[in-house]
Amino acid sequence: MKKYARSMLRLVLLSLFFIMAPGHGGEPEVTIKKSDRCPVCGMFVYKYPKWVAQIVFQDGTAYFYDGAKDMFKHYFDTAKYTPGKSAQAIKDIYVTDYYEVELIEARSAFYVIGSDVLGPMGHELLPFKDRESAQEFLQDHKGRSILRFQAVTPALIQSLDRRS
Amino acid sequence: MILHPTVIANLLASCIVSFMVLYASYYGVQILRHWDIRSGDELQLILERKTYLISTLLTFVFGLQLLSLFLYIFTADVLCPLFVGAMCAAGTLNVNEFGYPTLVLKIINFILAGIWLVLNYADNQGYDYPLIKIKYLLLVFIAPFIVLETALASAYFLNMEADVITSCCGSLFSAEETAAGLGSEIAALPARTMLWIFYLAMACSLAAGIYFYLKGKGGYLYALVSLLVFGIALVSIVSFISLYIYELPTHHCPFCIIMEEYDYIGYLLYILLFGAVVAGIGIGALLPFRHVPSLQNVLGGFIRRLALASVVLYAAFTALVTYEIISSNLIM
Repeated sequence: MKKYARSMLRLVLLSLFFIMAPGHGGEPEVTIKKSDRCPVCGMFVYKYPKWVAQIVFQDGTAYFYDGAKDMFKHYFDTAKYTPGKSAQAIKDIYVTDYYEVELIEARSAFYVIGSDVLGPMGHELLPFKDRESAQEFLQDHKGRSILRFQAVTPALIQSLDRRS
Repeated sequence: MILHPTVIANLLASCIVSFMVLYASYYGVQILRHWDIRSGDELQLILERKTYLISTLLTFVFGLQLLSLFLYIFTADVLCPLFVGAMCAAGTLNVNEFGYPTLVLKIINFILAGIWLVLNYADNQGYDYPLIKIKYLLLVFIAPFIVLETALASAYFLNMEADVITSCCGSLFSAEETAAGLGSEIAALPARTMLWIFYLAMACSLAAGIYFYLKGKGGYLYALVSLLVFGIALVSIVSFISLYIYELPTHHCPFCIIMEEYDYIGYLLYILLFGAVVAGIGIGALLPFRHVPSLQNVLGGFIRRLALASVVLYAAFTALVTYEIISSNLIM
């Protein structure tokens, strides 16, 4: 259950995978283990592969999330969910493109909010790799606006946690 | 309504228990009014025959009631993928306003049904139905709770709408100041302090239990302590035990622990806890009758066995919690 050694091994394997992965734009093809949980809500991430987001720290540790919303929560309040770590130590951030279902760079992605598509955690920011697909999605799914990574604020994330 | 086998099982169990308890209560009232062991009246003979049927029936019915608490939790856990925002039973129970009240009543009824079973067992040991009026009085007291539970459970399952966004346990049991509700208030308790309170309370309860087992004194005290410790243990699960099991510093959910991913450890914890509190309170329920002539020889032994069971179950719970804390990767 609590196999420290096993998780260390997994970490090593994962980092090996990153090092050895062929450099095509730096987008990793990660396999999610059954034990990987979102550090924000505790949900098992393998159940929702289409919504996976990931933060990789400089020390090689990586965390998965079941949606961009929880990834942002961790990003804005890193020390709360992972004591001893800070947002400055974040190396890479990835989100899953809603149409392509592949991991893309979160900092350069386009996010649609206010649409009628709900994630596992309710209202979500839906990530797209380019403005065209985000625009297309916004029109098809009654989206409200398209945001860039820098425009996302803690207040906005909090407003997504409403129940209706 | 969601037509899932577990939902049907829940409603069926609730309806069976309610119907049977009402049927038994009808005869219970007759017994309370007309029972006279010295009489050879026809009614008395009918009641004497009926009470065998009814108490046997109720043993199974209350057994089902005990199981239904776990069935209810299991159902909520199984249904969670159907609701947006729910990641475990906590979210499913929050789908409408009847989920949590049903759970609270199920917990109360679990304890009441357990006490009834203890009384019934003791009553069956004596040849002259020594506790018959007491146990049917208790039955008449329990009946409204059972019926109310059935009504709430029906309202809960019949009003389940799949298109609502529910809250995930991460926000229901969040220690943040912005979060409201009992779950969050408990989650916000200082974990380290709760840990000490938990171990202190368990130590007191074990000491009181062992003292009663060996010396036969302080039975009422142990019954009271076992109820208090039960409450403290439930709060502790939310406050700090969950943190060690999940190995996440902010996840306080008391329901995720029943999931397969955590080896169903939650079921074991809750079974130990509920078994311990029923045995503990059962002592208090039986002590007033230990001098009844027909029970004098047997009741003392039964009460001591209850005390032993309660102490062993609480000790096992504490040992399991301690194991989880020691083997956890979380350091607080």
